[in-house]
Order: sequence, then structure tokens, then C-alpha cells
Amino acid sequence: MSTLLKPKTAAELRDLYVRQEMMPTIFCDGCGLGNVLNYTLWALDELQVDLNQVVFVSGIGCSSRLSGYVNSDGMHTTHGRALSFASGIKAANPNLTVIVFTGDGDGAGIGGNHLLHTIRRNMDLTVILVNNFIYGMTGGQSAPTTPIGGISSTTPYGNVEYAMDICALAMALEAPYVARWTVNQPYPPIKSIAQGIAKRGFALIEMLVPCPTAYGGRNGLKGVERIWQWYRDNTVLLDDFEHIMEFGTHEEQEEIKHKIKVGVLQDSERECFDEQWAKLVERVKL
Amino acid sequence: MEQTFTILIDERWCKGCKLCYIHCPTQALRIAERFSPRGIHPPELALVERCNGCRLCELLCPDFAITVSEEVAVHG
Repeated sequence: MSTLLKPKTAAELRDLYVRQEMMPTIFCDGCGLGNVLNYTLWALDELQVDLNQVVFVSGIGCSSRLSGYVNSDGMHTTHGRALSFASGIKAANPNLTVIVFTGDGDGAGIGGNHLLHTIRRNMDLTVILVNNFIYGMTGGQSAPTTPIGGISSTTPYGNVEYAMDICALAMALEAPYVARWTVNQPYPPIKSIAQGIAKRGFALIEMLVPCPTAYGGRNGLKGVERIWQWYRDNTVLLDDFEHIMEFGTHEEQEEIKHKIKVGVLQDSERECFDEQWAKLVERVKL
Repeated sequence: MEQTFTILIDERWCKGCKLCYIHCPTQALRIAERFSPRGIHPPELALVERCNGCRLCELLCPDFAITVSEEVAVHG
């Protein structure tokens, strides 16, 4: 993979990869889900992957509609079970590139157990987990990722439960590739998604996506500009975080302490399910 | 030679979320007064000389509606 990204134009990209009759997307003004789709397609283009060898799998929710916009084979499955379907596809045909679009409610809430065991099994999947802090499509109920004090339709006086850190969970289960990005900057996520697809083994890319309709409006972030700015103000690059924690002043350290860390959080090698399975078949065959 | 750029907006797909306008680093875009066929105010390139062709609007557009292209200078 080249280090210098030279993306195709948006017009070329949509002619190649997008189902024209499905466009424009159903997403609200200021939603970052369209950006996640763009970045994924740019990453696929960067890797020059044959679209006939790619399968998109998704569950239920706003984020899970993304698979329907791509002009390749895909599955829109039951709520939270996208990873199980994807594991089945990968186990049946290990040559396919399987990309899963899932949301925080779908992947970490309802399908939380599937997430745990798919990471543990180390299936060769690329999971793009879109975190918007809320169940957006069903009317803004609180999700496992809703920050403490966050107002949703089921927590009208503020959430009292601690939020789940999906990346920390994946790192604890030793997923080979874990990254978290905001949609504000285009190039780092494009490069990261491309790395995730190229990685042998489970790759989790958590995308922090603004939801101005279900989350922003209730939490004092009304309007596209304010909620997008919130993500700029409340995230810190992992490299900057480590640098400031080591060399920064006390005030600087206090300022970034509670911010969300973005960047490539884990990048290691681990034998994936297909390789283990192929070895087993080799060992026990008559 | 000074490079100039044009910005093509696909008005069938633009939803008028203004993300391009908010994020433009050189403030070269503006929101048009007129309505598009979808009934929204589309963005347009107001200050051609300020656009440096960074393509941030194109990369950030959630609906694939913007394409930045280099304008070929005509001599003579």
C-alpha cells in the first residue's frame, strides 16, 4: 500500500461503487454515516480490491443501512447478529473480504456477546463499528456507550450508568487491529480502514459519528456545526496524549485527561481462525 | 502559473447539511440564495481565487455530491 493517498474523485467513486438508485442516503443533515461510507469506499479503492470478492454484512440500525448502498454482495441481517453471519461467510469461503458495518447499539449492546466471541475466535473480518452514543433509528434510547449524564429518551434526567469503551474491550481480548477515529478528518480513517482490511485477523475500527437528531438536540449540541465541533474539542490523538502525559504541564494534563483517545490503539499479529482451521484440517486428515 | 479549481455540486444528491461550508479552510464557499430542485440552498464556490483545491469538501461530503476539479487555463 502506498503511503501517499491519491483518492479518486467523488464522482468516479460513486459511479464505481454505489448503487445509484438507492441514493441519496436516508441519513439526516449533519450525520457522519455518509462519511463512513465514503471513507470505506476510498479505502477499498486504495487497496484495489475486486468488488466481486467483497461481502458487506450489517445488522439493524442507521449504520447498518450502509451495506445497502454499496454495489456488491451483502447481507442485512438480524439485530446484533451481523458478526455471526459474517463469521459464517468467512468460514465457508475464506477468500472473501468480509466487511461488517455495525452500530454501538447493534454491535456492543444487543450483539455484545457476539462481539466478544468473534474477537476471541479472531475471525478475519473488518468491523467498522459506528458509535454515535445512542440508539438513533429507534428513537434515541440510551445505549451502552451513552456517556454518564447523557440525556436520551429512556434517560430523560441524565444517564447514571458508565459508558462502555468498546476499543478497550477489543484490546483486552487481544484483537490484532484496534483503531478509533472521528469523521472530522478524512485521511486518517481512510488509511486506517485500508490497514484494517489488509490485516489478517480481526480488525475493529470504531468511528465516532455525530448524531445531531437523536443525541445532539437533547444534549445541548443542536445544529450541525456545534455537534461536529464537540468531536473536535473532546478527542485527542493518541500520540499527543502520550506526549502531553509525559512532558506536558499539570494544566495541560488535566485538560486532556478525560478526552476520548483517537488513533491506532493496537496493531499486532495473531493467527486467525482460517489459519488455525487449515492447520487442524492438515493435522487430522487421513 | 496560478492554478484555479472548479467545484461541481450534484444538486440531486446534496442535502444542504453545510458541512462543506463549515469546514472549508479558506472560506471559499458560500450558501446560495436560490433553491435547488430538492428545495434546499446548495453551496457554491464564491471566491474562486481563494480555493486551493485541498478537496476537503469533496472528502467530507456525506452524499458524494461535491467534485473538485482543476480548471485548465486557456492561453491566448
